[in-house]
Amino acid sequence: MSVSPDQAAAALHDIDCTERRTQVAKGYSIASPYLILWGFVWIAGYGASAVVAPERWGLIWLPLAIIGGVGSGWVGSRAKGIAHQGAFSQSLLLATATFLFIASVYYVFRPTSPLPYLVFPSLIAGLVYTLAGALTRMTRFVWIGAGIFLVTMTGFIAAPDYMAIWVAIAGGGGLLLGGLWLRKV
Amino acid sequence: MRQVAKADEIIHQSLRLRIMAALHAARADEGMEFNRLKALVGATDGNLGSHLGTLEGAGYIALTKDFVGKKPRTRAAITRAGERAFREHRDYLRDVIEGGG
Repeated sequence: MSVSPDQAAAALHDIDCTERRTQVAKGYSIASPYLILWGFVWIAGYGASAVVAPERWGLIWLPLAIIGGVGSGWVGSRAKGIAHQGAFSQSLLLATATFLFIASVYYVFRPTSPLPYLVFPSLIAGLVYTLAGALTRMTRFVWIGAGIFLVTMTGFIAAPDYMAIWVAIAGGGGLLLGGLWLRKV
Repeated sequence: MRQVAKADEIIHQSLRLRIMAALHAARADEGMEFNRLKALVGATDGNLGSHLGTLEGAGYIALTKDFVGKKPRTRAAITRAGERAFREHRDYLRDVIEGGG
């Protein structure tokens, strides 16, 4: 069997493209359950925030953040195709770091109206997904991040009085749909 | 010093090369589902089935068939021999480009 340099180059290019597609699909399938989990957390948290007075939001979000963090750890420890050892603690660390960052920003800037409490976590989520997608060249994350950002800013500008229910339906629902989209190759 | 790599006629066929590349990159213990593999390598059902049979016959992949509910499911996973053969063929292709083939 004889292979010319051009044929060899074409075959290697084919291998690279297929490996890249496979790794991206693997990444999406690992990320999918996280988005679905956090979609439910958002729907529950923002949905409850729409009907509960702002001074009681902490009572809603603290347990939900713990559920989300522990749930993320559980999802991480069950993820196929990645090293299981340390996956739980890694996922838990990421969720805790994000929560502490958002809580610290609130503590430092002390918003005077409830609206920033609703908007800021969504904007952070949009930024994180967009950056993660851009850095890893996983374009679906960019679309999901951009979608979260657009949904959040649309609600903030067009319907600030209904922000909580808007983020619950459009943001949480969007995360759920995004998670289901990632399951498709 | 690395041994001179050899071409592998079974793997070199375009679709089989993509199948091996996908399974090598995935390396999931439980194997990759037929439909996912089909989408990743851009094959049709019949085409993929036929090439998977060839690779299985060569001992490069292992096919597992089971049911999820009432739905039949086929999964493919690369074997040790398949990993070795794929790496050797890729080395051969690199050697050809570098003028050693």
